[in-house]
Amino acid sequence: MPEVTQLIVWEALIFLFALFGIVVIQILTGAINARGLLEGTTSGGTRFKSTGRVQLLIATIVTAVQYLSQVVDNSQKFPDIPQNWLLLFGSSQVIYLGSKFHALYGKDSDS
Amino acid sequence: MSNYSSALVFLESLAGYLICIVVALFALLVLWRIFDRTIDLKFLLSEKDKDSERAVASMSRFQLLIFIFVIAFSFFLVVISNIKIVQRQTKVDYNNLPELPDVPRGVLELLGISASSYAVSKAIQHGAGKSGNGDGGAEARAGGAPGGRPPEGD
Repeated sequence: MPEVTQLIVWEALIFLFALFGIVVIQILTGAINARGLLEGTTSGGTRFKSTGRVQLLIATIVTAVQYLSQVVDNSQKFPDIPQNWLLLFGSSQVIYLGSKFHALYGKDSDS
Repeated sequence: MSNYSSALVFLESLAGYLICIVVALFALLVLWRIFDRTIDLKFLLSEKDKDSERAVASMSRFQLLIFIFVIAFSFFLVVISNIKIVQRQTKVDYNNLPELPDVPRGVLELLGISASSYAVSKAIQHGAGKSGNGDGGAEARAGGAPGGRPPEGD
């Protein structure tokens, strides 16, 4: 019979992965609405593929993977996030917000 | 005295297993209800527009979802690692057991950036709606948005 701590570890691991799996499957099958994730809206209400959102998605995934790899390498304590990464991530957010602002306000004044 | 001690250890293990089983049952129930969609996650990533028929996915929500999974998994890995360290020790010092890990400042800053970006994004959207631009503006042109620009006609 496994020890209680071992049981807790497996329980938490299975729950976390199952939850992650269900969410990913539901996003892929469309059960969780992910429509328009990479689309922006212009002032006219039309939707377009937004580069700001694409670059933010890439920055998010890269940051997440980089952090996870740090944790896997040394899992004795929570690794801190280097200032450079925070700067990169912050800049990505600014670009996203800038592109959103431009789409909603800029095109209207152009026309 | 030794009998009492072994009985206490048995009781402790029994309580541990029982709590584990109860928590596992709750976890299974939650997972099953999400799976069969009794707990509906359809709008987990969506932002509700003023126009209730149209709900579009939000990048901020998606980002928060990813970070929550990453940080939860990391927290779990760190705790397991600390447990393993204690288990490897031949003689456990009960006065010096590892505590739950501290969340470093960088992680909080990351979540802060993400959350404030969400707030600013909503403010931009809201502002656009009020001034007749963006989604709200589109609705205003259709004659729908409260407080928006009056319809200008086609």
